[in-house]
Amino acid sequence: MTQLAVAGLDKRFGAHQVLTGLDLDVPAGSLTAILGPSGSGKTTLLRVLAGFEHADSGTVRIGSAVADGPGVFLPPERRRIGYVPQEGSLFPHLTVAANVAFGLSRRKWGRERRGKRCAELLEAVGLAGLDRRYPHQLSGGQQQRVALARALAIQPEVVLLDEPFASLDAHLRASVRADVQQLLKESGTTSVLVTHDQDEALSTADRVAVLRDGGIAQCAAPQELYSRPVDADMASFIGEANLIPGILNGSSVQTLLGVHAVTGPDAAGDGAGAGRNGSDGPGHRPAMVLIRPEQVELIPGTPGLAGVAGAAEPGLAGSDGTGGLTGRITGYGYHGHDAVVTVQPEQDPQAPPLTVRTLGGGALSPGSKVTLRAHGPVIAWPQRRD
Amino acid sequence: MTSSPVLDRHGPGPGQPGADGPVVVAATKARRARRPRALIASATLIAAVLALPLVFLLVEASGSGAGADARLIFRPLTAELLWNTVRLTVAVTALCAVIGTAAAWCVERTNVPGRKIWAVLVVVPLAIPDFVVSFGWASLWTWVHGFRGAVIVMTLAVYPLVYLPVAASLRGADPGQEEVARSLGSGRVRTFVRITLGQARGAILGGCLLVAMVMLAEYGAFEIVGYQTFTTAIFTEINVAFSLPAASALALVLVLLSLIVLGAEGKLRGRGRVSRSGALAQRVSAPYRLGRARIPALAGLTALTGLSLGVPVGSSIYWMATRGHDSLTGVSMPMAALTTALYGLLSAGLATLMALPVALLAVRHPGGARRFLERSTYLVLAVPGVVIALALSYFTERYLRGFGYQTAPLLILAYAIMFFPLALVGVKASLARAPVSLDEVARSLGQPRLTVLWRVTLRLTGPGLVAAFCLVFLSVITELTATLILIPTGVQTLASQFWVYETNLSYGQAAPFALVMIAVAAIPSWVLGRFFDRGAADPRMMT
Repeated sequence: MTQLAVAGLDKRFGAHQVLTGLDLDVPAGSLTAILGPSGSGKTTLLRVLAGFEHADSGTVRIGSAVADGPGVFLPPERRRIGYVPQEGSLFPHLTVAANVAFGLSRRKWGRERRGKRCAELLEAVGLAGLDRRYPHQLSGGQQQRVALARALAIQPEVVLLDEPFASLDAHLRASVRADVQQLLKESGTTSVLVTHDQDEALSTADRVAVLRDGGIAQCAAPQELYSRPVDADMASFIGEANLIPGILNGSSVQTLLGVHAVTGPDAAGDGAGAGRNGSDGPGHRPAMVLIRPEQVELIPGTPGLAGVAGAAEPGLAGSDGTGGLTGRITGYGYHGHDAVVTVQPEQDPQAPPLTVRTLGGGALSPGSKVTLRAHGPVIAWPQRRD
Repeated sequence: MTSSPVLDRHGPGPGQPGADGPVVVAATKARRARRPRALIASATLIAAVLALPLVFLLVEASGSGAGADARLIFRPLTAELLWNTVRLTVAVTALCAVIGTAAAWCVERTNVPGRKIWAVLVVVPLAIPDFVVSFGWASLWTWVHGFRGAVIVMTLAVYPLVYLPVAASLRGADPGQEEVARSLGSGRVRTFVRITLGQARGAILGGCLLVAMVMLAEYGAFEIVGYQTFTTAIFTEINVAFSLPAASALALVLVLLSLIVLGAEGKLRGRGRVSRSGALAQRVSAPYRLGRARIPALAGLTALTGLSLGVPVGSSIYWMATRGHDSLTGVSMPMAALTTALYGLLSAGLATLMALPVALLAVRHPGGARRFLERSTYLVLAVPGVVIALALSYFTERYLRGFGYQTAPLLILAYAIMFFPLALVGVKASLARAPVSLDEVARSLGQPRLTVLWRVTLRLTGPGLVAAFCLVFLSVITELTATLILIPTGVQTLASQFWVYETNLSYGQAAPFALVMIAVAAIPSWVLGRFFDRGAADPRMMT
């Protein structure tokens, strides 16, 4: 069931078109992240959903009601949206308890039930006993928790979180994020989280919608987004990516790393230039190939028989993919749990270096020779030859 | 965190209107983003009212014809007034810059004994009306006269206008810059000149321009020491010679001078940006150890306070004690105080009310045209009180056949126009304490617009609005120039009754009025200053 549905949403500020025909469906009970670089219109989208901005065209449906559409505009106070802004925006003149109870009408709730609900919510966000404090007496993480409790108090149709963790210190961010995620899951509240942080989106959300050029470029579960990006740009936006040229031949693709199986023809059918290429039949076609750093195995030294080293032309190596590619380490970043190594292919000094993620990786130093071998199926987008 | 049944959604809860049904129909509205039409309309109206004095001035000037204007402007008197006004302004401004900056540095950056007390005492003279300072000096010593007298009196009366911004800037300046300069091999003196003064440069110049604006508008203090400037000449033309055309011609030149100063100020403000790294963690620099120099520093501060505060107060007390054969009749003190308070309350209310829409537009709905609207209201700053009074007199005479001239409503309007910029600054500051994001959160929690205004916006801005109101009130009760021109016959305020006694040399009768004005202006100003200093540190302090 869809709890929040956006269709054909346009929003411009003066001459600047921020959102263009944006479509988005948020399933009930899910936590959907809207991911995009700063300036991509994430916050504008959120503000339109909350009713702080009017859409130029398109519809916003919250629950079963049209909130914004032709001839209809539901003001923010009628939308039952739980809004958690970036800085929390607690009311500075009210205590924590009064902040949480702000949306609970005294008349309809009654004094006692209001107090009880407020205490329960504070308990749930782990702030029991702080009800008499003022916002400036709380830490940043505590303020965010109060802001969330305040939003949940009105039993909202949807909770909107606008980069709620961005203003927190790094060490706080992870724990607050985890708590918020758990709380939202337990309450079964549908929520939309806006962020520019890929890690945050991938680790927190059930579904991630990537905002690009005023529209949603892809909306999928985090795993799918990472393993099956719609295009090369998306691939390098979500996580690290080696994008290398290759020749597509049916269900396999050949690159300077060897021959790899291609996952699902559907995944590759969408790429840039596929349509322009005309014939979809079998045959050799140039393609852009995505190989994630962790798909590449790094073996110190050179193999006995250099399988690929003899290839004269990059991308046309005649090997069967078992030999691997030799290269020299040009960069080495150690992260404790793993290491990220950049390797310059020896046969082609002009080619962009490849990024490899390796566990442990003890005795690696820049300049040393290594052999690379790619594993697993890869994704390839057919390209027109320029 | 443990699983809690509270958080489970049990359908639309009590008090929550279902999101479907008739609500949608009721909430149907225009789809276009709403422009704050009512706000823009009222702000435009207010800007128009504020522009009235300037407009009337121009109408009057064009009415009498370019030839007549030229004849009235290009005469020896004008040249003399120009010379008088400019040289006095330059002299006083320069003195204020030196004294204000030195005092600020002593109080903010050194270990001079009693810093906290000095910080208060040095500012108090600002609250004493300039004409009371002038009275205090000129009534005791006859050599306080003419140019020399005007320089002494005005410097002592207005140097806090430089002191205040410079002290604030020194307090907020990044101590790291001085430390870096020292570490790069720059000596103490060089560091002081290049870094410390450099950081405060914008504040010093800003303060100087404020001083210049006051100098252009002052009337009473100059009249007492017998020094002629544009403002005193205009006043004489209106109240003694009853020649509005001649007054208007001179007023044109005065407004032009003010516009030049105002323009310089705006230009400066645009340029003088001081950047500060890591604004959050504010470090206070260690005070400069004066050592043996603390004696001259102490002596300087003592002399400054004695001359600016001690002489006017002491002189008033002296005249009150030796009241001799003074027997002029006038309005009683309680009566004058009552009238003053009434005028003050009404005009402070009006000014604050007028400032609200303009400030709301500026803070909440910024945009090109709206910014222009707000900026235009600052033009009033360039129109001295005497010109506002002149323009309003002209208006009643010309268009209302004298109806309304010298009535309370006209005087209150004049006050409100004069002190509008003061109210605007206060109201804008108070609105900044209620960011729009709080309104949005409140509305998303189901509260309609008016409820939000009451439960959030007014709670946060209310104290600041009261402070803005008080600032205008305090300024009104010591206003003299416009009061003398527009006050209804038979009525006196504290300032105008003081003036009657003073000009008749009945010092013994004038002195109590001077003391009352010092008391009502100085003490609340001090409280207000403390209030603004405390700032937004603790929002509950405001309620």
